[in-house]
Amino acid sequence: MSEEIDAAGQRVFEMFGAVAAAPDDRETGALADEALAALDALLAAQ
Amino acid sequence: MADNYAESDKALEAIQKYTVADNPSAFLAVNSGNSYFSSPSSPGVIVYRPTGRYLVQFGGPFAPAESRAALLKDFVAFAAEQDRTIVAVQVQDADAEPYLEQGFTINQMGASYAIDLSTFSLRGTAFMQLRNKIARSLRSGLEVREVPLDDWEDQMRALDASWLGTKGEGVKQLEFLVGQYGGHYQSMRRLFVGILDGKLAGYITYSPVYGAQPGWLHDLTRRLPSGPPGVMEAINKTAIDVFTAEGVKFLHFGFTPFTSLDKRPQLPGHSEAFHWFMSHLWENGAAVYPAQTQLAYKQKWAPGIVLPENIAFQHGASIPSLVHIFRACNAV
Repeated sequence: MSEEIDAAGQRVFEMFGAVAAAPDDRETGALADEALAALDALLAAQ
Repeated sequence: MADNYAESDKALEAIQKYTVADNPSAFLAVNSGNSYFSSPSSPGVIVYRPTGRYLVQFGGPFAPAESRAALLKDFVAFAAEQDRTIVAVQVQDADAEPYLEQGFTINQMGASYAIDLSTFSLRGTAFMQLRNKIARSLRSGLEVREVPLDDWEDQMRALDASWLGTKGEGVKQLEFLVGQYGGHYQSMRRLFVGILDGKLAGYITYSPVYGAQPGWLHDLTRRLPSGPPGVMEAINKTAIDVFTAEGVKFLHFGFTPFTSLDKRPQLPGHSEAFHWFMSHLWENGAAVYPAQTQLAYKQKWAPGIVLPENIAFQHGASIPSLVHIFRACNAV
């Protein structure tokens, strides 16, 4: 579970960078928030 | 010309009068480049910057306690008219209630730090390294003085340009959540400089802090990269001595993101994922913001006061919302 959380967190970090590179891109923003929600789900399941 | 400052003067009055939340960085409200929202039906001011499809708010509403919810509600309606989303940064714990009532998600984003000058001293083993560093810088010939800006502004601007150049290509000067000098409100700030061989070796500006922990905010700092170690420390120690002699109560070191995230329970409804991400940026986010380096300087002074600082998301924790805070700061 810890590895899954780390991987999900890394995905959030990557998407943070992607949004920073294209802050007006709504699709990238939505993907970033999906990544955050996925991390939330893993943390809630702990 | 006076009309150009009517709104920021109103904001200044609000941060001085409405100190419910005791935001130690409130003076940043009068930074040039800020926008101000007020409502005919509620006293107080909201400070913000329109940034992309967001309104990035600084602090909570600077308003009487009983009016903050109404002013925030009007600001929410204002954002909706523009099809924009609100994200608020440096929201204090005492600001939280109206945001939570209106469905915002609040997470801790970092903390600000302060020392109580009535009990502060550099005596003792804990401060030996700091005392030695200050002494070395003074032995190198460094002189520290409180000065008016006019005599030093040119050298300060040159130092700023030089400092920015060391940060890498394309790095821009930060705004919004950092102090300024010069301009309409300069008379309210204080400036201490370090001088070596007649030239500027470093400076620290201090901005006023109002409310329950009044005093000064250690605001903008710069030093010559080639100068001796201890310049900043010597400048701040001199300022501390001056403030203490004046009976000033507190010296604030301001907000550092990603820091001190576990000093108190998180607020109800917070995002666990965002909290995880803030912790991750503390450990691994130096390229995003050098939080550990910045906190290391503040911790040299052993600040006994640690104040959580929060981010408030209008529609749930959101990465684009966070990014737009950095965008408002000119960091992306």
